[in-house]
This record gives sequence, C-alpha cells and structure tokens, in this order.
Amino acid sequence: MSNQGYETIQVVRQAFREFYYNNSRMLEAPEEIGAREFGYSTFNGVMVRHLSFKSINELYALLIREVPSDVYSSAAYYTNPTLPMEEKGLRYADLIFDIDIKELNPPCSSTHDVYICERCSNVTEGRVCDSCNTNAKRVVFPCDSCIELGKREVKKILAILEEDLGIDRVKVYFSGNYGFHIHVRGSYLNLDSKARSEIVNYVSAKGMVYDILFKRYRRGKIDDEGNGRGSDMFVLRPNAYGWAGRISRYIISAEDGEGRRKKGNDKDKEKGKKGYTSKRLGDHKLYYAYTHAIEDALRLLSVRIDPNVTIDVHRIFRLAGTLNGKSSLAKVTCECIDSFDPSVDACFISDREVYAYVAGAPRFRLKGNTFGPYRQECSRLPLYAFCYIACKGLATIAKS
Amino acid sequence: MSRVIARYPFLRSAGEYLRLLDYSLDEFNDPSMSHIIDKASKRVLAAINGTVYSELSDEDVEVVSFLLACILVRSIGVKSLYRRFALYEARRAEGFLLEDLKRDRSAIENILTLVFKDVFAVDVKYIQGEGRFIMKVEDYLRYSTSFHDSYWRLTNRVVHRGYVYLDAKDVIRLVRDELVHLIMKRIEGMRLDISSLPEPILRRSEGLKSMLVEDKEFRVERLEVKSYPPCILNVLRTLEQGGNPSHTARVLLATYMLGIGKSVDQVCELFRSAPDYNERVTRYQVEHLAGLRGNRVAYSCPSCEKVMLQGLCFKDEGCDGIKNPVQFKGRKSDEDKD
Repeated sequence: MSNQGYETIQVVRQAFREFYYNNSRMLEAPEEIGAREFGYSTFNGVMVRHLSFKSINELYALLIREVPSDVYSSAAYYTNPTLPMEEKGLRYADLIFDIDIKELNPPCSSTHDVYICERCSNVTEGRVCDSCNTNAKRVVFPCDSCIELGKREVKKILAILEEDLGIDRVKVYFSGNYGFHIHVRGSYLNLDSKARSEIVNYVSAKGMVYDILFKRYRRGKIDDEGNGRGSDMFVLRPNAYGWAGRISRYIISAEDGEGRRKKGNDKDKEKGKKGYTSKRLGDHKLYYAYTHAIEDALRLLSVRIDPNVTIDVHRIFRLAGTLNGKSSLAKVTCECIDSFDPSVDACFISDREVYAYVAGAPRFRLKGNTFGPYRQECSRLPLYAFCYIACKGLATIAKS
Repeated sequence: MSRVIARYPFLRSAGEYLRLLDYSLDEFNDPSMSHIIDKASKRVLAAINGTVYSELSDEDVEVVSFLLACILVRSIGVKSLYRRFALYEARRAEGFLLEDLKRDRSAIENILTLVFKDVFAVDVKYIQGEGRFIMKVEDYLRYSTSFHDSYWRLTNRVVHRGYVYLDAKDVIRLVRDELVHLIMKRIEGMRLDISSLPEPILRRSEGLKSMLVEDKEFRVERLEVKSYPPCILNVLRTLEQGGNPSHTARVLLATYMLGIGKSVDQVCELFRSAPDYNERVTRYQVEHLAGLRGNRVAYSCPSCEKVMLQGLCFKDEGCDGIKNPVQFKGRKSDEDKD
C-alpha cells in the first residue's frame, strides 16, 4: 500500500483503526505472551520487530496508537524476546504449517487474478505491462474454488497430524488473504529445525523409498539389474499404519473421487494395465501395485505446505484477530472448515460508502454482495470492498 | 538384577552396587585382584584393536572391571581412545540389548525401564504380540536426525498416533550414540591423580599406551598428517572424534582415498567410527564410487573448486598450485622448516 496516495492510505488506516476499536475481543493472545517476539508493518512499508508485551492489553494499546497494516507474533518462546536474534535465548517453538493456495496452482486463477505494473500501476492482461513493457505483479483474487482447494489441503494435513503424529489439538486459521495456517497446540514444541524438516517431509511424503515401506514383487523374469521381461510391483499393506496403509487403501478402493474405476495412468491404459492387481491366497487377498500407482496416490494424498514456514523456528506469524494488509480481511479461526467462507467470516470493515477509482478488478464477493468487474472506472463502494481492492493496490479514493 | 548390572555396568544401579562393594583403588595392589585388572585391560585392548569384547562374568567382576577400564583409558590420556573405547563398550551393550529385547515380556519391560528410561530418559513401549516397540515421534527425531540413511527418515517409518514403530535393532541403534556419549562423559569426568594409581594399574596403563603408539591406525594419523590435504584431514578428524560428516564430505574422503590408491577395504575402515556406520551400506557405497557397482563408473575426487563450493575447503600453504586434492604433495613439517 505504500505507493498508494496519502488520502487512500488514510482512509484504509482509519478503517483498520475502527476495526481494532470495535473488535478488541477478536485479538488472540498467544500462550505465554511475555515470551513471544512481536512485530508490525506500517502502511509506509516500515517493519518494526523485537517487541514484547506483558499482556494483550499492552498490545491492543499499540494497535490503536500505531494502526499497523500487519501484526505478527513469533512461533518461538524466548527468554529475552526484545534482544537481537542471537541473544534472545530460544526456549521452544510452536509447530505451525502454512498452506499457500498460490502454491497449489488453482486452475481458475487465470480467470480471476489480475496483473498490475510495478512502474506505472497500469492493470494489464499478462505478466508484462502493455504500456511500459515492465514486469507486472500478479494480484490474487481468491474465489470459492481456490478456497476449496486450500480447504482440501487443510483436511489432508489434519488427518495426517491426528492419525499419524497423534496431534489432536490444533487450531486452523484463515491467513487473511490466500491461505491457511495450522497451529499445533501443546505438543512438538521442542523440535529443532532438522526435526521440523522431518515433519515437513513426512506430511508432504518427501523422500519416500518404496522399497522400505513395501515388499517388492517381481512378475515375470527379471534379474537384479532389471533386465528381462516382467514387471516390478509392490505388495500393498492396507492394514498398515501411516503412509503404507494410507497409500494402499487409496489404491485398492474401487473408485476414485469421481466415481471412475481406477485403471492406472494413460501409459498403462495403452498397455491395458490397471494401477494394481490382486491375487487370492486362501482366505486372504493380496494386492500389488505398480510404481506409478503409488506415485499417483502420493500426488493426491500428500500435503503441499510451505516448508520454510515450519522449519524456521524464528519466524513470526500474523497474529490471529488482526487484519491482513494485503486484503483488509482478518486472520480468523476456522471453527468448521467446511462451512468457513472468508468473504463473510473474515470481513469486518464497515459498510459506509466511499467514492473510489478502480484501476481494474475482477468480479468478487464480500459479505454476500457481488462487486465488479471494474476497469479504469469510478464507483461508489462500501468501505469493506474499497479496502479489499485498495490493499491490493488496485483502487484509490476519488474526488466525487 | 545382577544379570542386568553385569551386562550394563554403566547403569545408575551399577554405580550404586559399586558403592555397596566398597572397593578402594589400593586393593588392586593385592595379587588376588589381578584377574580384574586383566579383564579391564582386555576391554581396553579390544577397543584399541577395533573389536567388541565379548566375555561376560558375574556382576562383581563386570562392574569393577568396567570402572577400572575407564580408569585405564583416562590414565592413558589419548582423547581418541576415549571415543573408541566408549564406542566398543556401547556395541557390547548393544549385543546384550538385542538378546534381552527378544526375551519374555517382563524381561523386556525391565530393560526398557532400567536402560532406556533411566539412562536415556526415553520412554519406549513394547507391543506384545507384534514383537515391536514404539517410541514417541519427538524422541525418535531427537536421535534419527543425525543419521543420513533414508532408512531412518520419518517418511519411511511406520508412524501411528504419535509413535514410531520399531524393531529391537532399530531401538538399540538409535540410542547407541547416546550411550557412547554417556560413557565418554564418565571417562572425561573422572578426576584422577595418576601418580597415586596402584602400581599394577599404572603398569597396565603404560603397556596399553605403548600399544597405542604401535597401532598403525593411531600412528598413521601422525605419519600422514603432512601428506593429506587439509580438506581430507578435516573429514578424518571428524570421524576420529566420532563426529558425523555430511554426505558430500564422505564422498570427498572416499573418492580421494580411492584416487590415491587405497583399496575398498581400507576406505571402508575409515568410516567405522561414524555414528551411523553400517558395514553393508558403507561397502556398497564405496564399491559404487570405485566403479564396481551400479553404472560401473569410477568417481574421481572432486576438484578444489567444487570442494570449496561445498564448504569443505581448508586451504593451507601446501595447497598452492593444485586444482584437485589428489595433487596435494604435502606440507613442510616442523622438522622440514628452516
């Protein structure tokens, strides 16, 4: 927002102040608040870190006084949170996961995201400004489908955290813009970065060696060097715990999500092969899967998270109950992930109207109302809609 | 209990037992105690020779000879021997643990409490019927992150409800380093007035020390210090001190040694003291680098530039003009200077 006009920034800033004034109860104090490092960004693009507060009221007073665009708190618990990083004295840190919907490459993003030139602020069709030929920055406008994709990853990771890692105390938050945060409560606090990296690799099934989790089964005549006619398969383990069981049960299930029988990939279809086969052995049925079937299963079952967020114990996170300066939406708890609708549940700016110039924006929905599309035009907008697109650098206050 | 103390003389309960026995060092001047000094010396000698001492006596002899062996190692005063002795005593305990964790349930529970919980503060549970053990993920990660092999990656383990499922061998292997560390700390923490040691113990200590000097592995380091480039010396020292060099450091060492004409056996030997040493895996990997397996292409030692990019370069004056560590001709020793 720092390159928006002064008046625009003041309007948005005032809106943020009103939010904090009217919604103090939304602010969520992290556990052991005195041990956390806090930071905030201003609307002028200045970042302030190494702050500490004894209580949530102290923090609240700062929010009213400074009205930052973004507020952060550390995952880590420190002995001296206000000292430089190497002197803070790390005690332990919360385990947190970040699902960034952008990394999921939603297929619908080309239909609703816009590009804004970093030099002339022209809203352009592609990645290069058609006015001045400079690189244009992509501005995301998450739609319901994007959010659904994110929710799917949330549900996947929650299942793995509970079933495998025994984590049942978690809090899921909408980040305020384009993703979700999963905060683990009360366990896995003492992991160093290497151990956190292991957890990241576990949920994303990275580094899996199929020969360790499954027994290999050779059909036909193949030597140890892989020469000969036949195929290598793996014996599935549907009753096993962890990844082995999860993958096996997925492959064996009769239908995929769309009701089609899983028949392997296109390459196998050419050869008339399924992804797996089975054999009766007395009372039991044994299942065998090709490598590609396991790979396909993993692609669907593993979770895509931002690894750096989890691994870096010194990272600071947007504080729950505060506004996101990229969207003016709030980071809020998702009590029920299925019914959570960020356009309603995370939108708290007031309804009063302003007159704005919109450089460009697709159709979007907030608080049950639909706005846009806009292209280089002025319009009366409720403050919450104006703040939403102004925070994305696409709107400014206009003279009526 | 006496069986446990005999096999695991480093336990807290063994220490209490030792106090009950109420030995004083002076008693070892008595010839009747020579069999214990013999046993202690054999323990140390086995470590020097790179073998696991396998004899097992009753708890009195085991506990006292273990303590005496630690005293001998301490009195010899060679740091690398502390690590080596600790490593082979740990391997000895590993062998006993492997036997004990296959016995009946109550014996297993006893070991899990006395050894794992008391010594390592690790809660390992036994699942009867499955013959498996479970360890909390957090505890598992505490140990496993120092192992490089994919086998130990959490992704490749059976994980359920916050626990990792392991067999007896895995459980024991995980805590081996901790055990080595524990024994080393015991040795380093000993306050010893060498001059007041009984004569029989002193004589054995000196005898063992002279064997150490004759041992080619301890000698090789001193002879070849000036002929190995500093990047290689660094990896060798890390291994000698029981550290855990990275994969790239190990590849550097192995390809360098193969490049200067060492055999596969000689190269494998170098990695024996690595915390995650596995003979079969090490041999496979060294043979692969030597071009005897896989794509059958021998890997050459990386260039100095690559070594530098990998953060493994510790250039000294002997490195002037060389582009590859195998070109290193040696540095001037103190005798050669002037």
